[in-house]
Amino acid sequence: MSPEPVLLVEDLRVAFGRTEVVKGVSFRLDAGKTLALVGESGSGKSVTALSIMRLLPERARVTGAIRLGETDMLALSGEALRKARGKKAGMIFQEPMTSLNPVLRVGEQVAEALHYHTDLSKSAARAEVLRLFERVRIPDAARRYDEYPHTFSGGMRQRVMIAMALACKPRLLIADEPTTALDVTIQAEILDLLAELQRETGTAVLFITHDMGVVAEIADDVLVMRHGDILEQGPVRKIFSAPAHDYTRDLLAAVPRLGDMAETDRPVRFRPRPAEQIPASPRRDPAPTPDAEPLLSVDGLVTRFKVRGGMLGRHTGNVHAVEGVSFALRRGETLALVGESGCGKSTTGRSILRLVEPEAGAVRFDGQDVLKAEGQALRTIRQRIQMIFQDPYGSLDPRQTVGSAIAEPMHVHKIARGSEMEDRVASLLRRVELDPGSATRFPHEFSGGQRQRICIARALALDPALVIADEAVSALDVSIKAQVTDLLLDLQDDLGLSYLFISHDMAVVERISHRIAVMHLGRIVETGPRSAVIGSPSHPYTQKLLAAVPVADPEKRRARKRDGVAEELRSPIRSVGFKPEDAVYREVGPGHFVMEGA
Amino acid sequence: MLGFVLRRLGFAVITLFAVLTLVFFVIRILPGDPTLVILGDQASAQSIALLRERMGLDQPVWLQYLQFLGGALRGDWGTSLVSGRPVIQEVLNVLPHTLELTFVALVLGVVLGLPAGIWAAVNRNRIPDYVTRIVSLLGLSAPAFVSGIVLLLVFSIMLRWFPVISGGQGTTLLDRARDLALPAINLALIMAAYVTRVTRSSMLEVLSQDYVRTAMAKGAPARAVVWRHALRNCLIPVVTVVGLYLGILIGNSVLTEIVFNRPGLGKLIVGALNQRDYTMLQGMMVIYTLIVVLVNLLTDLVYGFIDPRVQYK
Repeated sequence: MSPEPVLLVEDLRVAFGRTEVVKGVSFRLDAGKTLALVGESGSGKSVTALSIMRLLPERARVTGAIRLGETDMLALSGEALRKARGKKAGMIFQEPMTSLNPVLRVGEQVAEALHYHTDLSKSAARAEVLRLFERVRIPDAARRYDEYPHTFSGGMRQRVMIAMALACKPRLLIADEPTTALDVTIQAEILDLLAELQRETGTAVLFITHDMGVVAEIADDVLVMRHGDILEQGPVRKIFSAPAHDYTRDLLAAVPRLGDMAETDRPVRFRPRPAEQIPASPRRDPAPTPDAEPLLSVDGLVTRFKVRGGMLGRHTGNVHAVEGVSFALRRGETLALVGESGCGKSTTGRSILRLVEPEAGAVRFDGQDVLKAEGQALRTIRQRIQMIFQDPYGSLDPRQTVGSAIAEPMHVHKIARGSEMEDRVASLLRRVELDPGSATRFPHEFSGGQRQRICIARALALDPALVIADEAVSALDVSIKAQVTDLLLDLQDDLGLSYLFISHDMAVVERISHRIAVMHLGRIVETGPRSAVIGSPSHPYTQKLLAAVPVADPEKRRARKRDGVAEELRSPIRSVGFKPEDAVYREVGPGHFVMEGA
Repeated sequence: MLGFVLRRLGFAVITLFAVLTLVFFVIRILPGDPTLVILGDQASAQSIALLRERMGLDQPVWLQYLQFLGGALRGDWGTSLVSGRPVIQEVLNVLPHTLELTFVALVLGVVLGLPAGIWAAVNRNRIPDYVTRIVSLLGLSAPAFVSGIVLLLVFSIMLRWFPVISGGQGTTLLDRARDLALPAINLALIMAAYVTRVTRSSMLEVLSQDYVRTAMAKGAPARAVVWRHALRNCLIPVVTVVGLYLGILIGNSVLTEIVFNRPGLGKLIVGALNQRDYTMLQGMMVIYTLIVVLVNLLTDLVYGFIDPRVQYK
């Protein structure tokens, strides 16, 4: 055996009341190594991490053994426990937006860690924090020391968290989903930074994640958890090349392939549809019809938001959220609108339904001018374009039964009533593979995936032709995400739906879409058939975006080169009179267009 | 920041104008004739008419309104219909007593309530929490005149520590403090009860936040977690309640001032109400509005000191 492990966990069990959430977990972690703890929500992976730091609430009953070097963490209490936290092990958390104290200066929050564990003077601590900031590549560290967290972007805050966790040079770093809330290019930067710091310091890293792509990027060893049990553990290459468990294979299937689906332009299910579910005669031809007039055409769409400031709330600038966006969507087709947060993809979706009013451009839906429609005409259009949102928890009224939520759009548009309504609700629930009996239950009785199915049923209630799905599967656990994506594909086949699929998640995009449009700073920088955009990305931003997406192959991790310079997002805010140049597109392949210039 | 304050003061002027207008007309809609109150119901029609003329009540309402607004602008709020002295003089005479009482009660309330709330939150669902919750509920449920009388019975009559009548005439600081003690404590009890409850729930909320977990993960001792990381974050709702409650507190001083027989706005306003002293009531309303508006502005400014994310635009 190698020398003393940094962390040794033996038969760890954690129970809240009578429910055991971690059921006998054992593993070891050596210096300089990264162990990935993989699982979905409820797998017990975060509870395991928190129990190492003894950060669980008091009512949690923890048994087993946790040895951090020489220290028996479960035996510690009071002052000894406090001294171990931050000194023996540092921890970073998932939500960079809420993990820093909003009322304290960031530099002081890092210096605090030094203050608790070292004898450094105030000025020495400040110097040390500045040095840490440089190491985690926070630009302009001396100035930013005295700023508050709300002036930092998510990626920058996560860098602050890393600086804080490593301040006292712990031998173990616990990272609990540190990149899950970040955009994929920022995630790549943070992962690179962690790997580099690890090489320099020899810190052992316990990395908690649900994303096998991230695992492939960083892990030496992998431990797959489900419902508090370890399903399998082993070196990363073995887990990826020969997963022993079906569940591990499911997790692996949820990672983007990027290019493995180049042979077809049609969507590809996560799992093949069972034969008995395929209807004998599909209602319409499932393949998009290329020559007919598009169902939806968007031309030169512009949406800006006013920025106000100064003494009298003067109009000082505009957020150019959507700037000259044009695309067309045919019947039965899925166009994926991809991009990172703030690129304008959601605003584009909302502008089409006029949930926000666009400033210029034209939107034609099934022959009608959406932007000029008023009153009944607009209501009819809105009836035929439905939306599904990201958050299945926030999108359903907790005090409304599921049946009444699904029936509401039909009430509003006076489509059905009485027993006819009940029949329709029941058939919609069956349609999304839920028990029709659930109509009388309330949203809190359902899981996230089931709630998203309910939202889909509600969107289908008005028999729409177009569904705008705004990050519709992004908040779901990976295995649920696959099921809901497959459901959306089935519905498209059976009902001939068109989807405008707004997402940042390349794993789903590459399966669900016929065509892809990549957005950056309010513009579409590249659009084309899925295979062309993913297979031969031509715009620099698309290339950068795709290079940042982790792929499920541990062999490829070092092959890809990225510059380690931290980049603050470019802002889409412009002064009032700013007139953007018209975008010029060049056709690089059949139907594959790339924006010229920037 | 300066722009924000100026704009808010501009709004305050508009609010004051609206209140002046409202008060003027509401008082004139109320039934009852002030001359009858002053002269008694045996008075002759002639003397009533004479008094009405002297008080300007014979003029059309719109003229009374214009005169009232013009006077208010010049700082002339008319003379009391009852005492004949200028309203502003009467108000300014008693205002310091009320402000003194309210301010001391406020400070006492926060000094008692804030630690109690924190103590309860930190010991959630343990004995300190139950004790604090029951005591603060008592504080909320006991009307000011009941708690005032109990305080008087125990501390003034049985123990003889404090004077029964808090005249507010004491000349030395110690005398003034002795006069002030019981009324201020009486008023502070309710304040403390409110502050305790808000602090407790706000602190519980803050203690469950991610950044508190971060603080513990870096090895912060429990008291640093509470005092350095949690306290400032939990203060915003507390400041809101204190600000809102300050207005109520000045109103609540009515009962306390009567029980302890202390001069102040409370006693003045009750007197004016009973005697239908229109001009006095008008002046009082202006003062109350002014105080509430200023307190609100102050509350908003305090937010900025607590939370760096607050920007004044």
